[in-house]
Order: sequence, then structure tokens, then C-alpha cells
Amino acid sequence: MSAGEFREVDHDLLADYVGGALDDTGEAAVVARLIVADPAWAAAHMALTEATRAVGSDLADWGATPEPMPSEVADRLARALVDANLRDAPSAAATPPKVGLAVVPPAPGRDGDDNVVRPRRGWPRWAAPIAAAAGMAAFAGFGLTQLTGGDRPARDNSTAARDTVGPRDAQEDAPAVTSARSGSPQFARRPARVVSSGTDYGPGTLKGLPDDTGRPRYASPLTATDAAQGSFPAVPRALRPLADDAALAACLDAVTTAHGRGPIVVDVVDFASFQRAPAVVVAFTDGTAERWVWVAGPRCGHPGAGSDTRHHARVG
Amino acid sequence: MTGSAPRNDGSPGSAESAPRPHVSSDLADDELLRAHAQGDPDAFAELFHRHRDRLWAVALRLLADREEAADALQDALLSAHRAADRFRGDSAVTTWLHRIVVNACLDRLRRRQAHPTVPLPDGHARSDGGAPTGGPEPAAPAPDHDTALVVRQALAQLPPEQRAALVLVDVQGYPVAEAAQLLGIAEGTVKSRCARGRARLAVLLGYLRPDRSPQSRAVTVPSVTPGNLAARTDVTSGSRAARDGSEEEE
Repeated sequence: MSAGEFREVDHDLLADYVGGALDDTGEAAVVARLIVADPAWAAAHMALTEATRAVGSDLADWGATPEPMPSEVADRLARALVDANLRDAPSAAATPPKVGLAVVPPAPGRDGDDNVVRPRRGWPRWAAPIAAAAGMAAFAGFGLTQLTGGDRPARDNSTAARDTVGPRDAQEDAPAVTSARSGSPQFARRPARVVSSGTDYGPGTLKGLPDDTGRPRYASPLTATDAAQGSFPAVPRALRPLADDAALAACLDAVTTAHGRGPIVVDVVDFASFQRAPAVVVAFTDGTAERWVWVAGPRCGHPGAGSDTRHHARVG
Repeated sequence: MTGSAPRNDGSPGSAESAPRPHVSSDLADDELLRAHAQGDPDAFAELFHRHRDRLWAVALRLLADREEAADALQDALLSAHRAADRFRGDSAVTTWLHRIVVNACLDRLRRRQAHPTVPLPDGHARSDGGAPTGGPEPAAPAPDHDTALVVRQALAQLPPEQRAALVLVDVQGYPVAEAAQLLGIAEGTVKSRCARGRARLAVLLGYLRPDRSPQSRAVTVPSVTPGNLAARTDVTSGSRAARDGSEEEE
């Protein structure tokens, strides 16, 4: 296309030009030349520029007027969401309350099944400390064993696994974020330490992760209090979603898959950073008794993201 | 005309009759969505509470009808409520929510086009094919009542795609890139839809004359096409990947 081809103003093209839709295209230069060379284009350009500026001003003025949701609409939608919670109860019922969120009190109409928390009608008004403790345990499973006994890592992954990862229901009826996982987690569930050391690792410092005695090297394991209160001051914000037990399990599964040597035994999970970027640093032993450190990014375990690997190295 | 940040449509005290869910307000949006997906019954309500005014403003300004906006918003929220486990985190939660709301509104606008019914000022609809009125007044009176009414009526005459782009970018103040994400189209297409929509509005609002009369304040722009429904393949704004993540849509 050349400037000479135009005799009549192409108003769509001119509108695109004025609106910036032709920026960085060859057409922008052509239109610019037409505006300079052709009085009709020049006049149209001037008029359109002025007019669209006025239109933009009108629209912005309208947009500057607050448009808060009317209370009756808010009430209606809130009720609809409560109803939806009741309809979609199965996933909620099988999952313990999550860290940092209000805990569901026993519903008046519960049927006596102490292991099932029913969604209730209406809005929550209070939180139940007893239920909070139960909810906390689900999260803190990885870290709590360290706090409550510091037991040496066991190769047996049966009983310890169930005890440390949380209620069995929570594992088997994994919430949606982990539903994409296929089958059971591949990493061997056992008492692993979950810490937030604040360390900024690099390729040369990964061997600073725990030795094979399993003794903690870090002074700031995630505590039960942290978990119960939902406060993880040392955990980089980008990694906080992974401080959820199911999300962490998905991440460790992804690491296992990425490692590709069968089940692994996780020694330590450190919510830290690697080369100044937030990273989950996982130390584990694989089926060949080799010790590895895997550095995963914040998207570790997300469907499609795999382990979000940033680095990995054999350390023993 | 690409605002640097979306405008805050809420005002203190709005919709305060709805009880606020008792979840930690410190949690980030993605944490709330994850908590909801994992069964927390209050997390989604907190998300709703957090974003409702902006979502409402988008829906109301797109549909120009309170009842229909409320219906669309309810449909969208329930979709998001069900689909939370499919959220992959490729975009911000608020972007995801807005996209679902915008899609719900566009669906309604397209249905309205296919089976024309236009809202009356009293909030009822008619199907006689008369000129659009823009629907009932918004809850909050505009400072310049007449201008707001005229603008709403003019916007209602635009094709849904142009209207959506203009509402998001020029009215709500979303950056073009974010609007492109919300609409699932390239940035260049957003710019084009906005540009052509503005030109058409300029005629409808009287800033341009739709003829070529010599005395016309505007010499041209009589024939801005009703819409540009298809993305321009010749506009390269470097955001061809704007559709990425659209599978998160409901």
C-alpha cells in the first residue's frame, strides 16, 4: 500500500491510526504520509482527533462516577454464594479448614459424623478454637513432627505418612488444586522438616542443606502457631500458596516426576530463595540412595508447570 | 485514553448490609481462591466482598440494566465458584473474575442482539425493536445526569465488542494490556475496537457530523463501520499471545 493509492479517506483506518492501533506497523507511516499530503485526510484527521478526545473525556467522566453495588444486589449475590456452598458441599465437607481462614463451627443440623464439617447457612460469625487446632494440624503435618519429637527420618512411609500429612480424608479427597495429579503421590510421605530459613541459596551453597542425620540446621521451622495463625513471616510471599499441605504435596510430586527415578524420601523443604528469587528448596534421597537438592519456583506443582525447576544438583 | 489503573468504583459504605465473611483479610486473592477450592466456605465470599464493586460497575456499564447486570454477575460468580479448581494462576484472580463477568455480559449482549429486547427506564424490557434507552438509572446519581444518560444511550448503540472494549479501557480505566487479557484478544484489537468505537460515539454524541456537508464541523467520518468483530490480522502490537490463559475462562 502506498500513499498514492488513497483518494478517499478510509475512516476505519484513520480511526485505528488515531487510536494507536497501527502503532509499530507499516500502515501507520502510510497514514501519516496521507495526512501530510492529502488535505481531505488532514481535515479528517484533525476532526477525528478532536472528537475522540472529547469522547474519551465524556467516557472518563462517566467512569469517574462511583458505581457501588447496591445493597440489595450484594445481599442477593451473597445468598446465592451461600446456596452454592451448600450445593457444592462435598469438597468442603471432606477437607479440613484451612490455615488462616475462619473455621467452620459445628452446624446445628450435623448428623453426628464428627469427621465431617458441614457448610452452614448464613455467614460465619465466629471461629472455633478447637476446630482451628484440627485445621492447623493438616497444614503443619510436615513441620510438626520436627517440633514434637524430631524423629529421625524413617524409610517406612506408611504410618508416619498418614500422621504427618494430615487426616487421611484430606489426602484421599484431595481438593481441586491437586485433582489433576494422577494417582497417589510418588514421594514417600514421611516426617520431613518444613522450614523457612531465609537463606538465599546459590549453586554453590546447596550442600548446606541438612546432612543425612536429619538434624535440623535451621532455627526457624514453621511452627504450629504459625500455621494456626496463618502467619508465615519468613516465607516469601510468592511461596505462601505452597505452604498449604496439598499444594506442597503437589509440588513434591512434581519434583519426583521431574527427577524421574522413582519415589523419593524428602528430608527438608525450605521456603527460601535461590539467586534472590523465591524458591522452594527440597532436599531428598532417591531410590538409589543418592541425595539431591531440587530448587523449585513458586509455580511448582501447578498443573502444566511441573516442578518449575530452577536448579537441581546431586549433593551426596 | 488508556488509564494507568482501573478506577475504583466503590464508595465507602456501599452495600454494607451484606455481612462480611469472617476470613482473614490478609490473605491474597489467590490464597482465598485456593482456600475455597479446598473447601473453605467463606473464602469465596471474601473474594466477592473484595471485588464486588468493580465487578458490578463493569457489568452495569456493559449491560446498562440493573437487573440484567445482577443476573450476569450472579451467573458469573457461580461459574467462578464452581470453576475455582481450574484456575491455574496464569493471571491475577481479579483478572480471572473480571474475565468471567465480562464474558457473561457479552453473552447477554449478543443474545440481546440476536433477539432484540431493550431495557426500559423502569427496568422492564420490551421487544418492539425501539431505540435503546440505556436502561434504568444507576444506583448513584451521576454529577452530570444528562451527560451520563446520553453517553449510556450512545454506548448502547455500539456493537457488544466495541462497547466492552470502551467500557473497560475508557470508562473503567483498565490498561489496554489488561483489557486484552480480560477480553481474550490481542492488544492491537483492543485498540482498534476502542478507536472505532470512539469514532462512532463521536458521531452519536454530536462531536462529528455523519455527512460531508461543508459547514459540518467534521468533514468526514461518516462511515465508521458498525464493528470490527474480527481481529485485525495486520495489526501487530506484539500481543498475539493475548489469548493465552483463556482456557481459564468459564
